[in-house]
Amino acid sequence: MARQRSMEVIQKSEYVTIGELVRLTEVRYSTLKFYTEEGMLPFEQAEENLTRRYRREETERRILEIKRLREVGKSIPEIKAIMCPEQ
Amino acid sequence: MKDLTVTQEYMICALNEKGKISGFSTERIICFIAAGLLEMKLEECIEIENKRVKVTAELPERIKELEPLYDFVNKPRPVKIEKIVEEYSYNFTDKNLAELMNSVGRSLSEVGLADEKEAGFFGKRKCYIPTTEAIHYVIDMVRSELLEEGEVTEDIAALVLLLEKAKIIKKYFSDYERKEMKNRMKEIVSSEDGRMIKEMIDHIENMMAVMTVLMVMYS
Repeated sequence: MARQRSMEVIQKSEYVTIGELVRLTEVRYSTLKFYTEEGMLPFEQAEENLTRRYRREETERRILEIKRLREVGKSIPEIKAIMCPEQ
Repeated sequence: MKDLTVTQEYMICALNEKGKISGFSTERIICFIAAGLLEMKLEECIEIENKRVKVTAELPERIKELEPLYDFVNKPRPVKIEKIVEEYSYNFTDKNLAELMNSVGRSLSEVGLADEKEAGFFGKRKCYIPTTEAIHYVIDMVRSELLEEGEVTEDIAALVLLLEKAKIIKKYFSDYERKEMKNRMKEIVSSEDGRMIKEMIDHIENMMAVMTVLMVMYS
């Protein structure tokens, strides 16, 4: 078992876990999980322990964009249509 | 969000809306002290062997709020766990406990995770009330590790153990979540990787046993 990574290390990492995204963005876990399940936050899954890994910079950008669209009154289906037009 | 220590996270969950750890729950107080000791052990500045605590290195800066507890155990000879439990929970005054709670509470208040309020008859004491955001943040950290596939860190495993032993876990997690978490913790304890967690369980249970003996002696 390992210790938790410090914020300094997380902020420099290419990949982060959902828990680390909670720490980075202060968005609730349930919200991030929902966005993930809706396909709004793409992730990769490491084979050895099934941990979902998110590309930090891209995911932070996407979360900020979702927040912005929510603030201007867009619904989740509308945000999905904007952010994931292929779905 | 700033990096939080296990002791800070435990305190956020253990304090009530008046900024106190309920005096009726000795387990909660014992687990607060256990959090501090486990944290210092994880940071490798103390050793716990044969029910005694021995300082092995200087207190790291990142856990400086534990200084009152570190100073208490920083003696030429190892300090018995029994002595620590007695002095922090069954002492005539609650000076040691108040000092440690103030130190950890102040560290939370400094980063905006608790509100400092005056307490006591003449407002001579301080108490710390965790913010709702702080509580959500800590609980979400636990959920995001224990309810997800993948690795669980020592910090979160230690926090869950403390919340369980202090009987606080029910306040924050649903039946379903508690069942999932219990299964995950069982898996960890029975794995090769779970040695540290097994040791932690032993230390906490030993402190609880000491507390029970002291309760009988003082009653």
